[in-house]
Amino acid sequence: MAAFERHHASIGGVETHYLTGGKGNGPVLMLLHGGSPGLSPFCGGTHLWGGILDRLAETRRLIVPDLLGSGETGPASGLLTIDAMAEHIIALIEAESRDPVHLLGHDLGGLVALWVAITSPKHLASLTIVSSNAASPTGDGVENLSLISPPAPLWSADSQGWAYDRLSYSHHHIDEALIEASVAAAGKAGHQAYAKPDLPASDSDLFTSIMRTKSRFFRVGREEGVQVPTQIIWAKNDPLVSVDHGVWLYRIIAAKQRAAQFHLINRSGSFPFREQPDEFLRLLLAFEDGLMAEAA
Amino acid sequence: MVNLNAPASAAASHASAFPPKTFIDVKGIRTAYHDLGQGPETIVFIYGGNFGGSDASSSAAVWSINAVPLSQRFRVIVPDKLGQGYTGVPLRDEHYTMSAVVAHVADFIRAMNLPPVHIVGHSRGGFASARVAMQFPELVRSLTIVSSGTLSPGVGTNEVTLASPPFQPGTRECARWVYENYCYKPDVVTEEWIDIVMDVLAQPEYQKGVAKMVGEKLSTRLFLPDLARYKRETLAWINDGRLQRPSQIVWGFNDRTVVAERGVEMFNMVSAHERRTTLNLVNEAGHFVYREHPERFNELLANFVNLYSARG
Repeated sequence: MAAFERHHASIGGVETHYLTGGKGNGPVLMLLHGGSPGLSPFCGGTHLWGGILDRLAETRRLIVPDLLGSGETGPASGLLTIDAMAEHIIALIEAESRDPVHLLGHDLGGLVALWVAITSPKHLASLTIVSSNAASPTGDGVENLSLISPPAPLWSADSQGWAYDRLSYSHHHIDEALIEASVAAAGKAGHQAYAKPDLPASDSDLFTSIMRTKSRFFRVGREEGVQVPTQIIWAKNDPLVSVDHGVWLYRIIAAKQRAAQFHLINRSGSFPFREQPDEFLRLLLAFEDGLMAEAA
Repeated sequence: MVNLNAPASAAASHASAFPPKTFIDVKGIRTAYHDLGQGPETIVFIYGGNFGGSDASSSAAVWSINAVPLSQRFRVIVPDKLGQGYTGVPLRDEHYTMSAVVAHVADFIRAMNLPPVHIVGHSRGGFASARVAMQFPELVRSLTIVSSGTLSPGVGTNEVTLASPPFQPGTRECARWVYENYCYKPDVVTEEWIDIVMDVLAQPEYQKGVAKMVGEKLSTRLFLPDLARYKRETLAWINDGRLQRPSQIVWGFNDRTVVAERGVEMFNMVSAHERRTTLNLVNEAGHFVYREHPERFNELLANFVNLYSARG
């Protein structure tokens, strides 16, 4: 692994863990991982990125945090909401980067990144949303049963391994490092604050906040639009969210944002950066480099 | 700090660096082409349209703002297709077909002694490129298909959007009208672009094709019915899994002549059999996404070629 510096610092009043590293001349790339604390049957954190971090670090300066309630970052000081998670990220950008960053978010991190782009576009050079059910239109969707029967106990090695398997096109990317880090994350204060297996998901503050944030995003999409160049990277075989959902998310943003691209990766489930890292990497970097070439 | 939100396209300046054409004999057809840059990986661009178009005409220069910057990293070759640009027309009436165009592209790659190429085909050129990739796979390392209604199984709306231009065929106004209706914003259709279109239309050799296709009605008597049969076979080949090269599909999100849903369908067809398939939609782009957003198109293509370059 490339030399990443590990930080534990108070960001927005919360003890926050994040990595920095990599080299490059362009804007810093910040990556927001997936997983919804208390709701997802896997524990999110910087460990989800796997080998892609080393490869990105060859040409990019990186900031890679654990989000509120995930990994080694503590719980939110108030309610865990998308607003709180976005404000936390804005505070981290202000602490670590003088210039706007390329912001990428996966899954729940995609909605957090989108909300940062809407509330504070001056902090961003571009936005990338990856495989994000949280950011896509919900409609009167059909219940998704992909994760309906997790093995007990929740968030154990077996249970998290099962969840990654269920969400992947092929299980080959699921390695011991991922499982070990996920189990370690389950023991941290962030996860513990939201791990209430007996509480229905619909009672979660985060769940309510996701739905409200989507609604606010659709209003923004109709009116002023998303003010930063945006790409959507989606996976053909994602059990959680269809290609049509991804194209609709793109359509909403493309209505007002000139520099908008949609990319669909084949034979990947919910983790295209782990399942098809070569394609993921070349698409992500082409968009950023293309924007730089346009601006030159 | 660079403002990524308000880019000013400087791409037009690349057009002047497009090198002059040279010629090679390809099985009796005097074939024009442009040869730029060097390197182990070779990109071949195949533009759209076909011989005998009288409203407008494509030629190699349509790729100038892509070929010049990409030639800093790769060898880039842009031929004029059979009966288009400055290349000779088919030798016999029965060669006014898409299969003759495909054979000419393959014969050109062989005549140039190129290593397996990264072929990039637009519109009807996308069809020809996909066909070359299946019929002559030894010539192709990767395939990029740009906005091709001809290769799409669904309804193309080219003939609807561009029906009966309100100007005399063959005039500058007519050509401008056609390309402006192809594109998302009319201002990408530069005078330089139309200059070359008009020069091609003025070539006596090109006009031989117009006389055959329009005057002798080879378009409706031969070319279109033959293309329909040929397309049926080509789509069956894709569904049978014969397309076995990395394939990226690139589409202008606002193309009225072949809407983005056609690109999604094409992705579904190709990706069923070839893992290395992506779909790429670009906003505020019509049919000519590579001229409308050249910098981002070029980066997408460069990273694709790098990913699927020869390992030696």
